[in-house]
Amino acid sequence: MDVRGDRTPEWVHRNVMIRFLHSADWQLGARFAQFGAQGARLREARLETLDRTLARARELGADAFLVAGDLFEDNQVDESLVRSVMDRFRASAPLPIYLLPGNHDPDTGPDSVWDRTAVRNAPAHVHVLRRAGIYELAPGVALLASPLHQKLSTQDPSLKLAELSSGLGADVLKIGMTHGSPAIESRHQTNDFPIALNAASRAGLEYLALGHWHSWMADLDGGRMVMPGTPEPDRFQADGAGRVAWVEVSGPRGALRVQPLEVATVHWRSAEFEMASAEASRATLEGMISAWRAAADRTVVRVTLRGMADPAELARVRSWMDSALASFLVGQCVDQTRVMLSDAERADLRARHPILAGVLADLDRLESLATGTLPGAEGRMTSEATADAEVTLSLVEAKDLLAPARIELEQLTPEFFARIRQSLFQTWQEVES
Amino acid sequence: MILHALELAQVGRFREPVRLGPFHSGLNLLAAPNESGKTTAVRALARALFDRHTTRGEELKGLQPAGTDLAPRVVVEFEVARGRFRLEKTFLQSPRSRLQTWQSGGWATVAEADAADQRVQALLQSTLPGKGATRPEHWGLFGFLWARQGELVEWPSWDDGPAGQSLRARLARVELDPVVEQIRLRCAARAEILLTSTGQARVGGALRKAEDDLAAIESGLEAIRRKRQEQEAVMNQFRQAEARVLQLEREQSEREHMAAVLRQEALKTEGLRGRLEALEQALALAKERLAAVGADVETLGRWRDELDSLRAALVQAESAERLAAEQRAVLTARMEDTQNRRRQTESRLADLRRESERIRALQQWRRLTREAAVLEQQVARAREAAEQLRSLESRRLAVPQIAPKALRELETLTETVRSRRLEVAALGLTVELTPTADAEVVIQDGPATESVRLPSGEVTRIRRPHSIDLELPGWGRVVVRSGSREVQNAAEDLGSLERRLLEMLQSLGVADVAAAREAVALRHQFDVEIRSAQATLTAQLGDHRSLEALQEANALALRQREALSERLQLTDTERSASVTDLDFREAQLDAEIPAAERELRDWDAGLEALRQEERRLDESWQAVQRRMTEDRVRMQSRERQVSELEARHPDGLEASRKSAQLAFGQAEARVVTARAELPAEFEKLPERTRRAAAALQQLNAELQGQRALRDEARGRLEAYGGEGLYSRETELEEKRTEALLRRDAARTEGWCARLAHDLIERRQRLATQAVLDPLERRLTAAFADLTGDTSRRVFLDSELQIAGVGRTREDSHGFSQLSQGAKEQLLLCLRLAVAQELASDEPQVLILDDVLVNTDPVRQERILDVLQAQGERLQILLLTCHPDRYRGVGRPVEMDSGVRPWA
Repeated sequence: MDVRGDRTPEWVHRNVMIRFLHSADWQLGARFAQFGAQGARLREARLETLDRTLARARELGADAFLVAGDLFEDNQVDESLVRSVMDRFRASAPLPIYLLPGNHDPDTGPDSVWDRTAVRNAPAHVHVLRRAGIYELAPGVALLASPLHQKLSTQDPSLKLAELSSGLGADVLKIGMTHGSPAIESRHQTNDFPIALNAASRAGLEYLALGHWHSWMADLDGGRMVMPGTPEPDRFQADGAGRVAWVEVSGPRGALRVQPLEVATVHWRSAEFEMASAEASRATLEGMISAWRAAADRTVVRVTLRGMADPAELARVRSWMDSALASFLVGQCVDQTRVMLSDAERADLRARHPILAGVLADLDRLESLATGTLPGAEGRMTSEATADAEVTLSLVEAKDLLAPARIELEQLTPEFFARIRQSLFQTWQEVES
Repeated sequence: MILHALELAQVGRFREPVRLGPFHSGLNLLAAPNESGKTTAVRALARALFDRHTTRGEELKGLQPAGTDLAPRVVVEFEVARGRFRLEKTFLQSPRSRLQTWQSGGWATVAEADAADQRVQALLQSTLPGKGATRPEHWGLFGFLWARQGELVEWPSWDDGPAGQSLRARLARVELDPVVEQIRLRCAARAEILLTSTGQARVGGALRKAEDDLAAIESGLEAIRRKRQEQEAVMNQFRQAEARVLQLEREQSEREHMAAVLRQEALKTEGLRGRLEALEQALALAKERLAAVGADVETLGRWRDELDSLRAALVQAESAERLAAEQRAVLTARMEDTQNRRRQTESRLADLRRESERIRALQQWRRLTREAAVLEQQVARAREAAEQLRSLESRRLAVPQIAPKALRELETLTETVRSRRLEVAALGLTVELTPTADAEVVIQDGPATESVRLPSGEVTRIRRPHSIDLELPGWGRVVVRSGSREVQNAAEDLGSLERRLLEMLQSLGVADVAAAREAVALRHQFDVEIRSAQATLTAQLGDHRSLEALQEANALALRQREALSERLQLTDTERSASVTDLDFREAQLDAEIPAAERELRDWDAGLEALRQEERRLDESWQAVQRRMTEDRVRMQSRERQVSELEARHPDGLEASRKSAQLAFGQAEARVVTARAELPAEFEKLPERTRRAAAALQQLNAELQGQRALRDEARGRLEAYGGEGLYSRETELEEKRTEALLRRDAARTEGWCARLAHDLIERRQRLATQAVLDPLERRLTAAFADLTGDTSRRVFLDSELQIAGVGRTREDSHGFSQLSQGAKEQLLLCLRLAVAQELASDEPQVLILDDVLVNTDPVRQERILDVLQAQGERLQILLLTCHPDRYRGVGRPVEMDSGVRPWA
């Protein structure tokens, strides 16, 4: 439906108004390796979000549904996913849907997702903009598209829009759509499709629908360039993700209204638990968890344990944490604590179990050899009683000690040493009890 | 524990009750001969203290008196930290056990039967086996304090049972923290679930399963990566094919246009070329006609010239024929003249050769005559020289032949005999006879006699070597003999020499040495003369070997001369001709004969040249004849052809030629006009058209191929896309994350457990090692006391095993390398150390059952010193069958056989 030509098309009218829903970076089929099998649920959530967003567009009476690139995470996504998405678009008829290849799903040729049978057989209201060109979005409204054909480029894809726009009359309402990084100093990379910050005004566009970055950004080029971000967040940082843009444009050089619509399905929550104030931390976290629990099946939670921990207290907290996070879609507990003994406890340990105290001192020494750092003074068991040269582990002794177990000193991390101390204390407590 | 008394009944040789004791603190000596029951008593003590009273077994039966079923009964009075006890036990028959304690001046029963056994076990910290009798490792500390007779001299293994470990801990002051040990064991158990001893993932464990899962996932990811690479390659193929297709399509369009232009041009050219071909055919016909007429003109001219030539040649041939006949006649005359002159030369040459041969024969006759005369004179002189030689040789034969060596020997022997005679004469007898009147005396000298006249008044001396046998007329026989042995020997020697001299003279054929010298000189003179005569004869013989040969040569020369003379029939003139005449004539002939021969050869050469000339003239004449015949035939034939050619052109040849030239010029002009109408390079058009079609065909084929490649690549790419590699990879990556988490968790758990275990073990080992030194010092001091050697130290390893004995740890000798005596002494040191250690808690008894059998007397004394000193802290029971070695040591143990233990 390329309408470029020497003459002004018949559908060009003055004083038109158009309303559409602008989305981008759906990244359907995306990978969440850090969550293992839960990644499938997160992918499923994106399809739910798409359903909800399409329904919202119909509710709002949108003239079009734009996807400014990266509908799919990759050109090699599963066929069933492609079919599923096309089925959803088919079910949204007659809502016109315009799909632009982005850098994740560029139109590279027959290996592209856009060459799949399901896409080629897509219904007529689904338009895949595989070539740069001008498309009729609505009577009097031209959609100027500049799709991507590769994953990286230093070329500004919006230049093509300016070229296309030059062939259109001034009375045509021009909506642009492309995919790339706004060329904001220090925030973009030169080979990541840099887009001039005045790309919309340069091409005489009323609105330039962008995609690529996953955060909401609507203040570029006088508000004419909008990056809605990903409709479904994929990280814990609260950066304005989870939205699409509801856009209303009234005729050439008319009013432009852009509204963010919250559409996300999954909530990403994170919290910290400070062991130094375990009771207070627990009370706070309990409150948060109870607030999140209503949408537990759509919430990803990560709690980071920090600070020096008494072994018994840490065990208790971890036990509570495990049960508290069990009901969430993903419940992660990141333990960054270190075992802590009081001076009295250390003295008692040295008196009652000097060998165990020596082992803990050996662990301190091993950790310093392995990581080049020493644990905090409060956690150290090295003392005048165990630090004499005869029993202190040398590097050679340490390697000799580890060799029969096929352990390389360099493989041992601070987390490992925290874990082995916890394990030792836990075993000690079991034996003592 | 210390012992106070031991009572036995029906034990070994002690059928009747016997009491040993009381045992005192310090050194107790139980000295008795072998087989007196010392060891049996101590063995019964151990059975009573450590075996259940109900135990049945060979060890208990071994206590029964030989050949009986009697029940061994043992009573032990002992004392431990908890008090003094009395234990009664009966084994095998009606077994019983009772434990009593000393209270308020009497024995009070504490427990009986199994309870009594258990109480004793608790008091002594001993253990029981699952079944059967106890073994030393069950006896607790007592096992280390009882040095049993005949046991192997071995350093104890501290790990056998809790008593050993306890002792090791006590000796080394190691507090084996049970909590830490429990932690260590739990860590070991946890590590073992996940890891093997070599640190590898254990099969069936969580770590191994996670690793296996990871490997499978990695394999799947690798397969996807490979497929991605394949896809990338196919994509490249697609792009290349796509670009090539576009390029080919453009080229195809251009070539199709060019082919159409060429086709148009070819159609137009085709019409023009048809007309041109017809005109060219007409031109060719005109050209052929013109050429035919021209050829006839040329042929006729050539034939006429040829006829003229033939006629001239015929005239020349006839002239040559005549000339050849004339030359032939002249040649024949020259040949006849030459042959005559040759015959004359040939005859003269034969005469010269015959004369030359006769001259040579005459010269030979002359030479033979001269040789015969010379030989005749030579024979006469040689015959005279031979005669003189024979005369000299005959005379020389009469002279004895004595070699110089033989002459020297003869002279030496003669001189020896002479000197020996003088010697015998000087030594021998001398009889001086002075008769008053002339007398005669007969001297008998062996078989020979010699009569000697004796003038009156004169002294006649008769000398003989050793005896003188005289016949004095009128008086009788007087024999005077010398008694000297020396004279006898000399005389015998002289006799022997004289016999040898005589034999030698006889063999040489001379009377004495002077004759011999004369014979030698004479013979030498003859030799000189003979050699001179031989030289004369040889000179006369010349080249002949002998006189006979010379005579034969002379006769041969005479015979040859006569034969030649007879053959030649010499004339008188010839006989009288001088050698000079003959030689002069021969020289003349030697010049005339070669000259005649050369002349003859010249005649032969001239004749051959004439014959060749004759042959050449014949051949030339025949050739002329043949050529004349041929020329005549050819001339007739050519004359016939000329007539026929002239007949084909009735108007004349020139008219025919002008007509043909005109027709050809007109046809040529038409062809030039038609050719000018054809386009430039029109002849290349067909090839160009064909080439364009072929190129287009090739292009289409390649385009089709590239399209097929592109479409195939497109199909494969679509298929790859349909495989959803990213999604499959995503699924595997997520599984990989889970597997990695599982693996890391399992590995961390395994490593934590393993490392914690290894660190605890290290710390335990370090703690043990830390206290080794005091124990080493204690053992070293005791060993020095026993051996008197303060330079050697005892070294232990971390397991409290003897690492060695020596000046340094590195140079020390291991326990197994030590002598039996040293081993016994080291073990005694260890037992003393154990006993000392235990004695700090409660008094201890040390039983030494004849264990120092390998100790020399000096060390024995030292050991007794040590034992005496230790006796202040320990109770020591010393059993020996050598009372003399322990005389004056400790207190003897009393044996009272009148007791009634069960009373």
